[in-house]
Amino acid sequence: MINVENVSASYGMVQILRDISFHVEEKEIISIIGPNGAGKTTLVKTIMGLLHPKSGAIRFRGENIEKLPPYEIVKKGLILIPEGREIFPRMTVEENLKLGAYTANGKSTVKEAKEKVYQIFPVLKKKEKALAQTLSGGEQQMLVICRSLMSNPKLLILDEPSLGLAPIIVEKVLDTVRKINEEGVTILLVEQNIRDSLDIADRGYVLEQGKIILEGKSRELLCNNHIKEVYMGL
Amino acid sequence: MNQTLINSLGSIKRKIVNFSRSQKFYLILAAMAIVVILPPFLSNYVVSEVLTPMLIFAIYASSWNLLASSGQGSLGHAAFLGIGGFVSALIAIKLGIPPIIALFLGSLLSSAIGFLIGLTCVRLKAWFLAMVTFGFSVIIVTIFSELDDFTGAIMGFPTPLIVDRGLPFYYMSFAFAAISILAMYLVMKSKIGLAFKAIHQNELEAKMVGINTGKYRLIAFVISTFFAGLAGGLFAQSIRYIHVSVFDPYYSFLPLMMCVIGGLGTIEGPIIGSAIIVTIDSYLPRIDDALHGLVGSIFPAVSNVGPPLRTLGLGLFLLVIVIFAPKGVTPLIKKTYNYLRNSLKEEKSK
Repeated sequence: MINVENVSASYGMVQILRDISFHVEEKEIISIIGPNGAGKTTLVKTIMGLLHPKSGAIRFRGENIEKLPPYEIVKKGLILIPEGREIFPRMTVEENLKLGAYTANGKSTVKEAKEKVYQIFPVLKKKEKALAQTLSGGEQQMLVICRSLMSNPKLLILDEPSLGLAPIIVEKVLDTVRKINEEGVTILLVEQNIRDSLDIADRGYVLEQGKIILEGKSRELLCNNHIKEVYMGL
Repeated sequence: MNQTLINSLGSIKRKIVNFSRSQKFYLILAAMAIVVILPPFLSNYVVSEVLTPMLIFAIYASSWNLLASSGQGSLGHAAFLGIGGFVSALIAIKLGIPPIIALFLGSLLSSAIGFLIGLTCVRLKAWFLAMVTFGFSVIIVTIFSELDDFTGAIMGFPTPLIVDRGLPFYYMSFAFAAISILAMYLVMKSKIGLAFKAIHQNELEAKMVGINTGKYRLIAFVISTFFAGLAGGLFAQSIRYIHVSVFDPYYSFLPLMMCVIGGLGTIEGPIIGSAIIVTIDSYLPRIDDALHGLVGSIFPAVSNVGPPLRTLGLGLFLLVIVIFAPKGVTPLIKKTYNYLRNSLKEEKSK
C-alpha cells in the first residue's frame, strides 16, 4: 500500500533520516519503533508532506506522493494522527468531527460517518456540544482517532498515541486501533512503547539515529537480543 | 441530484423558519428597526458625525475581524482603508465614472492588492505577519505621497458623493453595512469559516485534516481587504475631503481596538466596538472644550490639554476592558440580558 524507498530527509543542514526504506501492505498493522530522537516524527512528517525528502521516493498505492502538499496527500486517504493529541480546543466535539470530514463531499456521508464513530465511542455523542478542551486526556485521544476516521482513511498513521496516557487508557486506545484495522484500515503505528505496539502489529521496523537497523515479524523482534537489551532492559 | 437539491432547499427553509422564531431574530429585528426609524428625529450632527461613522467603521472592524478569525492579525489595515478611499475617489473624478461604480472598483483594487500582499503574508505568523502588514502600510503611504502629482494625496481633495450627506448618506451606509456584515457572517458560518477557525486554533492539525491552509489564509486576505476597501470608499465620502491622513497608523489600530472592546471573533463584537469607540471619539471633544476653559483659567500657560487627555481616557478605557472583560463587552451584555430574562421569569413564576 505504501512504499518508502531510500528516503533521506533533513532540517536545513542537519540530516535526520538516512536512506530509509520500508513498506506497508494492505490491511497490515506495522509498527515503527525507536527511542526519542531517532527520527520517528520526522519520518511521519516526511510521509505526510510537511517535510519533503532530500532524496528517495514515497509511493502510495502506486502513486508518487513525496512532492505533494499535505492536503493532497490527505485527499488520497492517508491520514495522520499527530503526537500530543492535537485537537481544535475551542471548538465543539461535533465541529472537530466535522473538520475530520473536510475533504469528504456530501452531508449524508458526513452524517453516516459521524453515527459510525459515535457507535465506537458513545461518550463523544453525549459530549457532542462540549468544547473539545473540556474533555479528559483519554477522551481527547478518542476524539482525535474518531476525527481521523471521519474521512474514511485507507492508511492511518498514529504518531505516539500512547504518549502521556494512563496504562489502562493506552490499552483501550490500542484495542481501538486493532478494531479499526479489522474494519479494513491499514495501520502504521509509530511508537516508543515497544511491547504494546509490537503486541498488536504484524511486522515491525526499528529506527535508531535515522536508520532502520532491524526489521521483521513482531514475534521475532520481541525475541531479538538487541531489542531485549536496549528497550526492555532484560 | 434533484432530490439532494430539494433536500438542501428544505433544510435551508427549516433553518430560516427556526431562526425567525428565535429570540435572536426579534432582537436583530428590533435593533434594525431602531437604526432605521430613529435617525430622522435626531440632529444632523448625530446622524452625520456619529451614526454614519459607526456603520462605516462597523464594516471596517468586521473586515479586520474576519482576517483575525483565520489567525492573521493585521497591523496595516489602514493601507486598504486608504486605497479604497483614494482609488474610488480618483477613479470617479479622473474617469468620470459614477461614484457608486467607482466605490466597487476601489474595493476590488484594494482586494487585488490584498491578494498580492497575502501571497507573502500567508507564510508568516503572529508578530512577523503584524510587522509585514505594518511595513506594507508605510510603503503604501509613501507611494501615494510620492505620486502626489497624480494622487493629490498631500493636499487632499474633496470626494465625489454617491448621495447627499445627512440622512440619505446614512441610509446608504446602513444598507452597505447590513449587506457587508451579513456577507461576512455567512462566510464565517460556512465551511470556509470553519477552515479559518481551524487554522487559527491549530494550523498543523488543520493541514492534517486536509485543509489547504495557504489557500484559505489567502481567501481571508482577499475578502477582508475587499470590505476594508469598501469601508475606505464610504469613509472618504463621509469625511468629505480625502487626504493622506487616512493612512495614519491610528486607522490600523482602530479595528483592533474595536474588535478587542466588542469581542474578538464574534460577529457582533466589531459592531458594538465600533459603536463604543465612535461615541467616545465624537463626544469627548465636548469635554475637551470644558476642560480647556477650566484648566486654561487656572494655568494660562497650558493651552490645549484636550487631545492628550482624550487619548489618555481612551487608553485607560482599553486597559480596563482588557483587564476586566478580556473577551470584550459582548459577553457582558449577553450575561446581563440572560440575568434580566431569568429574573423576569422568576418574578412571573412567583
